[in-house]
Amino acid sequence: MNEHLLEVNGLHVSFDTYAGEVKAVRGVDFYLDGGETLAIVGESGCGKSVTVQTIMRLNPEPPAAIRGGSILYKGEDLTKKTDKEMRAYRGKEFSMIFQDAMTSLNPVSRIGRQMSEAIRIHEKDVTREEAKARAIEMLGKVGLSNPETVYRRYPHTLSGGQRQRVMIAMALCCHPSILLADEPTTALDVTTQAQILKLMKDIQKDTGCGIILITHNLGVVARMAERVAVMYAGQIVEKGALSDIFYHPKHPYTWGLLGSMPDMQESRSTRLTAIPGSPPDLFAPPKGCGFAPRCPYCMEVCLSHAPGETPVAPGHTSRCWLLDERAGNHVKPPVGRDAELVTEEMKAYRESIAEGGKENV
Amino acid sequence: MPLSLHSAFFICNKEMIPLRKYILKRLLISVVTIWLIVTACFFLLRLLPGNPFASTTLMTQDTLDRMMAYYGLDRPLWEQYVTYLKNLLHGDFGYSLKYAGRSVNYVIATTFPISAQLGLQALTFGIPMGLLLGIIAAKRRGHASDRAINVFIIVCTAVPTFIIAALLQYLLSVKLGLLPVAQWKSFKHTILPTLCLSLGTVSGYARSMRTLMLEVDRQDYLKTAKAKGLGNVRIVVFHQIRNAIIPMITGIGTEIAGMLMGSYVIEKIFSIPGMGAYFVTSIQGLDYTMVMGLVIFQAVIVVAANFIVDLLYGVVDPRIRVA
Amino acid sequence: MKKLTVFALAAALAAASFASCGTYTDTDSSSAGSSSEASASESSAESGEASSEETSGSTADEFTIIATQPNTLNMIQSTSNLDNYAFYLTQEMLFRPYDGVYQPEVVDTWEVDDTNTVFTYHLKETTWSDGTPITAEDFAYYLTAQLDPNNGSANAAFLIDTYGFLNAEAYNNGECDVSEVGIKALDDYTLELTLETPNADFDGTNIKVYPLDADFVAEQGEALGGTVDNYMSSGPYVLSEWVYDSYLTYTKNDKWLNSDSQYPVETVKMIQATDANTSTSMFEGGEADAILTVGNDYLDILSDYLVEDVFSGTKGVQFNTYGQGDEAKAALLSNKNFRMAMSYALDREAIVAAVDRSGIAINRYNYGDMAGKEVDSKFADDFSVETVPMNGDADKAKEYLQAALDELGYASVDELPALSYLTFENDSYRLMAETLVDQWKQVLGLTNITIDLKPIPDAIQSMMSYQYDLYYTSLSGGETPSTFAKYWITGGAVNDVTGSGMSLFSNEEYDSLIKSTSTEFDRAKRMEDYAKAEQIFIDEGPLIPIETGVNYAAVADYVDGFVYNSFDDAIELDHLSVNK
Repeated sequence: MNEHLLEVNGLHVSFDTYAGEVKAVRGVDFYLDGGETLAIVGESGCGKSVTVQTIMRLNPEPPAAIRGGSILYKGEDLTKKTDKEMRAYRGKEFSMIFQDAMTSLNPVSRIGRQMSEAIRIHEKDVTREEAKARAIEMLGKVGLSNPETVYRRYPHTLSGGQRQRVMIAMALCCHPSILLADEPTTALDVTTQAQILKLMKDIQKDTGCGIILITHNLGVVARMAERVAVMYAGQIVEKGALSDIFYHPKHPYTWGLLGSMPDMQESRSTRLTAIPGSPPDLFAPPKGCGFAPRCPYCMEVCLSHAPGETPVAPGHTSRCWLLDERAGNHVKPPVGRDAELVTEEMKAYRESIAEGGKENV
Repeated sequence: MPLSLHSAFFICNKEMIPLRKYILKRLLISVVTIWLIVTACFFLLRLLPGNPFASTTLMTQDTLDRMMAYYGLDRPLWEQYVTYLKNLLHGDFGYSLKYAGRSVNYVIATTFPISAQLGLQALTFGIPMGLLLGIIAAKRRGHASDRAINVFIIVCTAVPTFIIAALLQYLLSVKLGLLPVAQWKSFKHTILPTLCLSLGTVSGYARSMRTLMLEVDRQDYLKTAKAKGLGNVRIVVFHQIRNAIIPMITGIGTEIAGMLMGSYVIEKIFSIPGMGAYFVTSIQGLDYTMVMGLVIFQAVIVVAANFIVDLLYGVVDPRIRVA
Repeated sequence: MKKLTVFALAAALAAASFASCGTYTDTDSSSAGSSSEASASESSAESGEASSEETSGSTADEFTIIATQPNTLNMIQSTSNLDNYAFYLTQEMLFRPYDGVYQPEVVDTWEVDDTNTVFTYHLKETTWSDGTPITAEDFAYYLTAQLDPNNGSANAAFLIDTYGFLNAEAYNNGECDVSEVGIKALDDYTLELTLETPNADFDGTNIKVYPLDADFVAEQGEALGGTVDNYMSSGPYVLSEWVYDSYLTYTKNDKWLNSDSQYPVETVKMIQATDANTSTSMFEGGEADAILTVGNDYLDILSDYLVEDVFSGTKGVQFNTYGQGDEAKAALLSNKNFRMAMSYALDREAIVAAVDRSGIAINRYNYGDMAGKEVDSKFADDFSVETVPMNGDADKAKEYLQAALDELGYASVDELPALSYLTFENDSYRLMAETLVDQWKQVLGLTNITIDLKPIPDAIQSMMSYQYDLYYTSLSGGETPSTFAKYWITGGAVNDVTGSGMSLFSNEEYDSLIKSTSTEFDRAKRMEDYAKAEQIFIDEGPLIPIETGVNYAAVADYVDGFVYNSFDDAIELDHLSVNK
């Protein structure tokens, strides 16, 4: 088998706090290859940000701690590296784009300075003028008009969309192999969102970098990702190709997610289906399936034993006892909406976007 | 670019015309402020009960009257005020009422440099030291060094300066003979007073800096910096400190102005001929001319310091530039 | 990185500049004492050799003392004895007091006329430190300038009361011209002083007169006596340096009359130390040879080095016999038995020992060094008085109190009107007040006295407007009993403080005794009269004596001949030597 660009195996990450140990990531496996986009979806607190930040070892190691697993990047295990060694990777091999560009940029430093800094820290023999030139070039590439002016400006004088472009430019300065994007468009308005996403896609085409995209917006997933991983309570409950997840979801949580999407075509009087309940307490994660308390299809075994990853199709797995042969075939349709209906709608969405129609993702 | 060149270019730039207007406006306001202070002080002083010549030795009313006449204090108040203003415009603060022949200008000219040197030395040592301790305490939060620094801060804040100064003087000068006991004769003489005077600054700035650093610690741009691959030192120095320090600048102006005026307590303990003593004794003795002179002098310095700091603020924090 | 290096460079630069060109007050003079400006160039050429000798071996040519600085060197406006220390060392005098005895200096011979009112002095030829001759006119001007009403000098009253020069008062009131005053220079070397009436206490020598150059005064205007440049020296030393609140340097003046025989020390440095702790440290560390006034808390530490000098003033409780217009209060405060009760209730020695170590308990008004029948006898030895014992007498106090209550018609102390005790707001006065009030409460059961603390200017104002019942007063004495005695004649300076005719105390016999002293030229008889007056005042005067000031100086073992005399208002270094 070919080596993946990035391979995460059995990752366990905990936080040691005054109140105890918070098990934020409880056994996560996935991989990423160059040129493809992996979307990680899930609700707040499911562990998606922690996972991705751990790849870069961004979290300060006390209180964070990697309790197990490996992160293989081009064959090297990043969990074994010291902080100093990691610096060579950060910004160079992979870069991160954060959600709120306003707070993620140093407010008292000019844009250009922050960008040149990124370049010169990794490429020591680049002169100031060269770094400046490269930075301006990159600002142009991300679609900013007047990149020379932007170079000299401060973050607070730019608009939200411009700032996010700057963040992307800064992330790309050193031509990383992987771009980690943590909800890059959540803070933007719809129109700008579309522009930024298109930009990211274009860059991926250009450079062949891999993108891990964290989002809770399924529309964004539909637009950007080739593969999807659904996370819940520190675990990946279902992962697979985009079409697998959208057309043939096999996990009750995924059903719930898809069902809770607003539908533009339906009348406004239809209420959104929410998944009742709230995620489990990660101080004392449940012995069984993390979703069991909220699952409408919960069986006895779900509460006492955690399900393993069951392959559904090539590249498509799901963690659910319903898939076990002993569970029988009594899968009922998702509460509230017809699964088929949902998948029909998703198909229609995909097609409309592919045509480059209304940018209302 | 070094900060000062930065600001110089700044102001000369054509684009900075609004800034020039701002400066002009502030200068005007400063002058008016000082004039108001002069007037208020002048009349308030005269309202205080007692007169400058009262002392424990007996004096008949006649003698008192004649002394008042000699110093022109028997003329109507507004006339005295106008005369005072006229002299003030020539830069003449007059002569002390308590110490015949001692001109206020001379007193200020001879004592201010000493107090200012003491103050400046205390500041140049105290502020960086305080900031450094604050940074260390913040970065090593919870460790022994953080706790030690916190104890130090509390001691400096709670224990009065004169106690610490007297103790250090006894220990270092009398017992160990390392430093001179008192007076202001050479650089060696300034070490102990500077140290004692700076303790307040060190502890104050350490405490503030620690708090601010911890606040900034949670900011996202520090994560970005780390994500770019920057080393810890660089992150702390260029991103964290630069942001944490901004709120501290507001206070610096008044602090500098205050320090320059000398410290009554330190100067007394170490027999330093600075301005501090004059501030206290001139009010107690109702030495009108001396009080006015010192107050005006201090007012000018405080106003100037605040003005400079306001400008500096714009240089340091681009979000607050005069648009 | 760049910013850091710039910052570091700036810091280093600052440090270097502080170290090299700071605002330091001058370091100790290294050269042998440059005696006068004229020979300055000589001495600096020699100083190369001389200074090496100086710094290596003994520094017997320098005397360093820690003392409070003068307020001003303006002789006309000067009211403080601190200023007089400087004048004494830097000016010629007609007669120079040494340990209480006046010796002729500039005066060669002098005569008194038969009426005992005209004193004629024949002066020697002397010069200022720059060589200009000093004339009789300079000495005359010194006196008349203080009497000049336009100068508003506070010393005029002292000159008028103590000496009574002809027309001095009139001149001071603006009623006549200076040419009519009995202070005249008949020619360059003859000075004539004329009194209005004979004054037995003045024998022609006990007056401090310094020369003052009228032209110089006119030139200097308001700046007179402010700095060394605005001051002319003529005496044993030249004032060569004065750094405010730091130190003064006196250098020996070869041009002075007796420079060969007196004042052996070449350089005198007077350091200002404002903190008692610091002074003591400096003395112990050898940085100073003497401290003029040792702080109370350090008397024990320096007990081996102390030199005592008792003042001639009186501190005590003054009774406002007008009672602020309240009849009951006036009656109470004028009542002799009540006053005696208050006086006998106090154990002065214990109180002063506990409360004020810079004081000595007294129970009369002429004591200590005050001279008696002869110039070298003590008044207190020659004349005893009947007065309250130093430790008080609690039983007698209660007797007196009862007598007072009976006289005034009160059944008990609770019926007494409330009395206010006015005093200054500073620590020592407050402490004394609390102690006295407490004693009165303990011994006599008095609970009607409240302490009224005020800042000094306010308190004085209240005192001068008679707004108090009891007031802790501090009265300075003089060289003879007459100073204090004259305060209390009807219309006297303390008795009738505003001069408006409201005397606290009026006794015919007292007044006539004091009046007669001015013409009683028999010293023994005169002193007897003072003693009689003193007794009357002890019995009838509205004052309870408590304490007087004492000064403790600390002097190092290797210093000989240190004299500080508060009567003379001088630190007398005439025969001081430093033998390190």
